[in-house]
Amino acid sequence: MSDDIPPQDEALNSSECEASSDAGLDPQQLEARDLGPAALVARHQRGVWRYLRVLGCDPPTADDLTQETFLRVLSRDNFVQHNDKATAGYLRRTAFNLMISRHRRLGRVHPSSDSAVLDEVWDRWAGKDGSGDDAVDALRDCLQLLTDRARQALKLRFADDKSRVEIGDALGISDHGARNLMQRAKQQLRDCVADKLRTKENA
Amino acid sequence: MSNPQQPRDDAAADDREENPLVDALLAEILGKSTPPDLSSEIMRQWREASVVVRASQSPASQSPASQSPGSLIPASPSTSDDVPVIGRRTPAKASTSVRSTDSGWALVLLTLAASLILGVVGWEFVGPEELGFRRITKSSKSENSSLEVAPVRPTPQPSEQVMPPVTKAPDALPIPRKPPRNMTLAEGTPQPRSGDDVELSVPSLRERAERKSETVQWVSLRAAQGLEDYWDAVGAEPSPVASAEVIRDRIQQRVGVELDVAQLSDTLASGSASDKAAFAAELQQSIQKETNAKLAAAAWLNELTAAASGKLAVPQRDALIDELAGAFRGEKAFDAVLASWIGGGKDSSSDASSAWYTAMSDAGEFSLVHGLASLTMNVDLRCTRCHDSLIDSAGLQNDYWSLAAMLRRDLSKDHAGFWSVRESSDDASPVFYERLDGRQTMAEAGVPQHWLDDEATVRDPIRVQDVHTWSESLVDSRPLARGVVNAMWRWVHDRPLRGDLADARSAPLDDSLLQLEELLADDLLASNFDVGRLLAIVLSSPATMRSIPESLTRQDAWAVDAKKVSRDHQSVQAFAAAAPSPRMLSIAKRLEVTQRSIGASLRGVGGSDSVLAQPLAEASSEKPDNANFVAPLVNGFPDHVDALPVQWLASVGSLSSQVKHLGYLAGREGLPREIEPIATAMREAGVPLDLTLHRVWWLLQR
Repeated sequence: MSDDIPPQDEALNSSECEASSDAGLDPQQLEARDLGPAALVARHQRGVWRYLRVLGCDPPTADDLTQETFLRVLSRDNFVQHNDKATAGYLRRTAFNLMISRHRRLGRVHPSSDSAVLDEVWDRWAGKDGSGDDAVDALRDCLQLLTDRARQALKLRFADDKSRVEIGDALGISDHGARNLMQRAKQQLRDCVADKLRTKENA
Repeated sequence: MSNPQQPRDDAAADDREENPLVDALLAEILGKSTPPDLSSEIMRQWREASVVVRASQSPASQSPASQSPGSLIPASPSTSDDVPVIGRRTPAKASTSVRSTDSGWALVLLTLAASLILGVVGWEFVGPEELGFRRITKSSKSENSSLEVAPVRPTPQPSEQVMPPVTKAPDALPIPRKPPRNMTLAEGTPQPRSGDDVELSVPSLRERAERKSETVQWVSLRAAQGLEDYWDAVGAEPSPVASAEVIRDRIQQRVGVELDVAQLSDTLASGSASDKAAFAAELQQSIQKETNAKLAAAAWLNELTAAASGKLAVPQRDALIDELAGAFRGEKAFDAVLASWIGGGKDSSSDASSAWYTAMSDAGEFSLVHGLASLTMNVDLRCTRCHDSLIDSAGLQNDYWSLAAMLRRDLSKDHAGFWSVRESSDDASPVFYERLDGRQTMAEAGVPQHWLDDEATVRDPIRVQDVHTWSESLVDSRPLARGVVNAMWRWVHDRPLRGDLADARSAPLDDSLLQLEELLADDLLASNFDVGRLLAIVLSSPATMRSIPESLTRQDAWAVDAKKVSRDHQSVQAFAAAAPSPRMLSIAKRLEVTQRSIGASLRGVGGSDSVLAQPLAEASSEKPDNANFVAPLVNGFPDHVDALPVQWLASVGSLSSQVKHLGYLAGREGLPREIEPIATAMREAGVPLDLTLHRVWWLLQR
């Protein structure tokens, strides 16, 4: 993982946004160009925060890094907003590098999956506005399609912060059974969300 | 709250490796770990960054513990003898930090370039900050290239052990809120208008009543931790905790409220954070008592009006104290009370309004303008009466005169001395002010928008143009909350929490200090401007509990290492130690002490040592029977200094001008006539310049 990490300033010195083309932009995206600082933050902060969570940051760290990301980008003299997609990508790259820098400072090993793959998948899930709101809505719908036991297991895990053993005990299955149940449930959710987002995009 | 990357077991970690996206979103949906609204915090930090940049560019900020907080880089000699010139940004930076796509900024930039060519000194400090594009530079002390401005978490938890977990709502403000007590607006408080072209965000009473504030214990604990973080950040070493008797006396002297020593002793003796937090709640209850609320109100009014409230007729003063006491008891919202006073009030409230303006204007128009702006919008106008601020470039001379012109136009005082706010002032004479280059400029009456609105830029046009509208805008205003926080901190600790960079006594600036200010302002807003609650939190802070360092007492003056004295002074500046008790010395007494220090006067204020340059009584800690005992009276008289009171004084041309600038810093419109001669006498007696100016500063304290 660490081999894939670019130098922190790479994104900051690169011109990802400037290199983007306006071709193919829809009117909404064109209107989103040249947002003022406050509007820029309002439009993209949820996407950046969620991306950091996907990368493995706990909520307070995601709070910190989201703020730091915007402060960094707003202070850039040559930052140009070509479109939402490019801006969101630039913000994500900055956030990622700040997170890596933070991990290095704190001597932590970043345990997340491959960043390029994650970024690509998140880019699809984040939707046109880059916020990820569509994915959250889709996941909320998909949760209703799970079995009660699977939903219960996930609730124990994410709402109540129970361990695998505790989840197994609550459901009357082994800890391995709980693990498999949750893995299957999450894979179903992932597929379901991907389907819903694809459908929405094509609509 | 679940964290996808902090597993409770290996299997969960395996799961997450496969589905980090799903995990993160499930944590949001099921674990309620929703994205917070960080907009206001980010925008605030972005603005604050320019202040920090200036601080980081100065020698003082590079080593907060070693230099005066207001230190700035002296630059080339000023074109004016009276104007300090500080290190400045180059014009090129202004052009690089403005986005080329914004034609509005480009226009301003052209104006800037033109003004630079003309060489107008006051414009040299106008840079990208004023245009809304503030530069953030790398901190000298930060690791790698991380920003000087550290982010703030919206809901940090000070202690896992003692505080309950907090769940963030999707759009939660930085502090979770609970329903406050029922509060009513003061009689005569103007109601928010609708349909005005003035874009002011004034919430309805219903919206305010629905707010939730955190417990006073919680906020007190967070404030205490914030202050300790600040001390760590600036390298201030806190002095030992003072005795309960000393703290009680200190609070009684400052605030007028007498605390129970036994209860105070128990709190100080307890190592438990929860006990100390509970102390804040007990303090609040104590302040809410009828007698204490009135005592606190009288004392704070005295502070806010620079002691002018004592000159009011008893009915006038009582009218103000009664309304303010209601705010300390939590029965009235202070913002509404203040808005009523400033807006002129109605019926019986108009008497209080008149009394308010009478007291605030007692020392002249400058005192009125500066005092109101400081309290209501947390802006410092001491420099901008005469010129654009050369240190904090947010301060423009035009802004000062805009507010002054509005007050001149809208306030009237009849022959009986009764102040009122005019309903219509169309026939008012224009107000002109003189710029540094001698040009006369007409001021547009009103309140600069950026003083009222966090989101506004310096160049926004004035949209609040009369006192009535201004008073309405103060209700539930964040700038007012900041102003009240700093005013109350100054009341208790002698200096505002976040002082101006130009100020000689400001605490060293650090992000953690700004965070503490925001925490208190947030809580004040959440509690509907419950000033009794705020006072309890301020009084229960660790800063109140500190003792005076031994090295700063006159008893040890000759035995203490100068470096130790310097370190202790720095602790005092950072609120990590108490300052020697400021005695209520008259200016005549202080002049006498100063004269004696250079042998210029043989008439001592004491007895046996009256023919000596240095008072002998300093050597004794015993208080003699003689009522004119000298030693305590000269506490705080400077004798060891290693820098100017503020470094920018070095760029002011003459001693006379330096002394005048210290007078402006002390909030005085003019200097007492004895000050300049005594300063000259000290220099002629061989007193170093920096020590002379420190002693002048000491003389000028009220």
